[in-house]
Amino acid sequence: MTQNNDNANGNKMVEEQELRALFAPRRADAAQFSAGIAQRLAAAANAGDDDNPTDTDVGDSNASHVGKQPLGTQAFGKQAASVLPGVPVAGASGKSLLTTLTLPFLLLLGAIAAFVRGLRGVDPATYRDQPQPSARASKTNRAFQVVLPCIGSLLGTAAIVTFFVGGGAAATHLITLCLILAMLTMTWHIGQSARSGVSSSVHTGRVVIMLLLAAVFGCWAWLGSMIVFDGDSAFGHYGVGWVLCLGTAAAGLLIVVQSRHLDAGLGMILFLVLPLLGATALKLPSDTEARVRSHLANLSLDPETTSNWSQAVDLAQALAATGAAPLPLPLVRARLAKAIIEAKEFPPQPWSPELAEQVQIDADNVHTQVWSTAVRLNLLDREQLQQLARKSTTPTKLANLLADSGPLRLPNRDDFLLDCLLASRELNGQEREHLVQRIDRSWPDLNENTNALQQARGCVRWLERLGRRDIVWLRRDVLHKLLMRHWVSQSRAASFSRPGGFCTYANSNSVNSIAADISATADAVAIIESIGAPEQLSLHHVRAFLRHQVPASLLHRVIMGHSVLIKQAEASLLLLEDGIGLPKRGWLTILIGERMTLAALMLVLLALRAIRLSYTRERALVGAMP
Amino acid sequence: MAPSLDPILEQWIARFRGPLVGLLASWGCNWGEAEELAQDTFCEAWLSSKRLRGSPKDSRVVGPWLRGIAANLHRQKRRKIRRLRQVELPEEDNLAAPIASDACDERLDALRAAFAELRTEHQTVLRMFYLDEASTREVAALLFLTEKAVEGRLHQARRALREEAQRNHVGIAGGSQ
Repeated sequence: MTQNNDNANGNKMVEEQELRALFAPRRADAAQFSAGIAQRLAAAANAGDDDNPTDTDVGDSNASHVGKQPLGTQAFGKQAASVLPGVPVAGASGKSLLTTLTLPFLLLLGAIAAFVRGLRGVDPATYRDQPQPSARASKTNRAFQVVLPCIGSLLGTAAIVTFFVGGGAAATHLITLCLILAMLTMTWHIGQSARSGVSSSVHTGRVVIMLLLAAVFGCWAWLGSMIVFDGDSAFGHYGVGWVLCLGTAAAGLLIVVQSRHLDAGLGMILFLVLPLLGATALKLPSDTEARVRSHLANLSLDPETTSNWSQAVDLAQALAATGAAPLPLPLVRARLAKAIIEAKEFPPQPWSPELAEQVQIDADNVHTQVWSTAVRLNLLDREQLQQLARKSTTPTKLANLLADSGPLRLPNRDDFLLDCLLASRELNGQEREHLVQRIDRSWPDLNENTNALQQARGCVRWLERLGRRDIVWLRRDVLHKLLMRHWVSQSRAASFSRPGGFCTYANSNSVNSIAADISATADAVAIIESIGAPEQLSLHHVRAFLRHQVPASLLHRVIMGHSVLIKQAEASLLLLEDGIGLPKRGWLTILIGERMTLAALMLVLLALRAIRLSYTRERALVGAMP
Repeated sequence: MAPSLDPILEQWIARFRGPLVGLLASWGCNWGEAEELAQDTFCEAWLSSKRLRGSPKDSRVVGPWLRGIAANLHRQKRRKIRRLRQVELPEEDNLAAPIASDACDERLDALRAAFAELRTEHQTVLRMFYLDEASTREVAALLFLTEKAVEGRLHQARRALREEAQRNHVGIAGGSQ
């Protein structure tokens, strides 16, 4: 068979005769060889069986390892289940507090221990003088290589199941655990292969690359970014993606450099799969403030339509909170000035059906919400506000604002009325107090199922405009209760939803029943800017929620980058990070928060070391030359 | 005259002598040591053959068995060398060491130089297959590979050997045309 193939490729290969001639001087004499064996057998027969090196027996090693099994699989499974978060262990109470507190720390310790163990363990030279592994271990080692291509998919499935059972935080724990297991598996496999004598640089490189790809697919690419919630991490889930993708690419390049050979499979991974994955899911570095400025500058703000105006407020507030100068938006200013001039004047008069009919007929083309937003964006100067106070139905509404005594509907579309009132005339103390009392009656009722965050945000703004921050501060506890009521913590988040944000309607206190949304989170972040966050509320989790809403990868930005809600989320993220600021944490807390990224980094470092050592040791081992 | 051996053992030696010596030589032994260790391996394998699970006539059973024993013996020898603080890797088998009978053959010298540049797995399979009369079945059994894989590796190794030789600007074209 080989002879036929050789003939077919004779012009590309070395002839068989030449190779046989090359090795001919080294060939043992058959008769002498057999005689040597016969002499040894005779010597062994004379010496008896006492000196037989029975430790050379492969079969014996099986028995020696049986007694060393410390723990049955079932018992281990039970122990593992007891520390898995989200899995009820004792009755219906779920995980214990101790478990919740210590599991992330244990995972960090486990990652470090696996890394330290692997530093020596991935060196094939360590196993040179160790006995052959048992037949069972060898079988397991071969089985591992068979299932290795499927491990990525299995991991992804396991992560989704864990997400269902225990939520996004449990998926984070599972993925960290998988990365630790990947380190241990790599070390174990290299050790077993080296002890069996089947270790080679090509084999090690292949297994390491496949293991890294399994980690890329199972721990990150395959829905990983959708299901993992890493609220305490500064880098977020994207940190793991970057580390694993770059690590796999580096490992591939190291193999090419060391072996001076690029095979087709590795080439496809390096030049096709990894860039595609990167475009799909890797977070691109970006300047959030610049992006928010760009969003606001490019937002289509037409005074004759209401679209985009409500989101523009959040963008402007975020920029103002970071100390950035307000955007001039000259075109929008000019349009608004023209609209003010064109608006008709009405004398102040009591509201009546006739007036309503007339207003309906003669109403100007600009919606009141546009005026409210324009005021918040500082697009109207004092003189324009004074003009606006005389135009359209504004005089009547201003009169009603001071005449009525019921609660205000805040934030309403006539939010600009207060600014018009303050610009048009100086309010006396009695009028100011009257307005404060109306605002006081407008606070949301915690027992009612209303859009309370938005309402509270409006009250806070009006009180601040009236210079009554003291009242806002007195309401601080109530506002904190409100924030906590609408905050979607990990235990309250509905299945498939991302915790950390705020919900519009907190109509249920049951577990896993509510979902956070961007608008409510934007309102909550604006309130937090005024009064601070309650102690129990994790701003890092809020950031994780907002960060997840912002498309970070190239593909996502192309597909979803124009969504107004996404721009609102990005503005809230800017307000939270640069305007409010996140609480400082100790180094241990930071390390625990980054345990997943650190585990990925350690896995990559071990992989690179394993590849490098496999080539180094192989080169150092010089076989006999022909 | 050498004493006669059991036919089964004779069969093992006939099939595995070349591949086993080649394998041991790939683990860092010189040729003489590899031959000695191979003899030890056959001896130990025969003495403990009662523990062999499977047919002693089946190369796929005997191959891994021999390899396991050879690996342990090789390991013991290395430990012994280390204890005695002897030099682990002999210098006599480096590229510069010419073979007396082939010293004048430029083509074989070129191949020898190219062989040193090959990847380890290619060197190993060439040693095992071409040292003596061997079949891919026995080589595969010792390397835990399939016969197809061994054939593929041999093919790649021979092609790589020729490319290396050509890269070294030594003409061996005459031999292959």
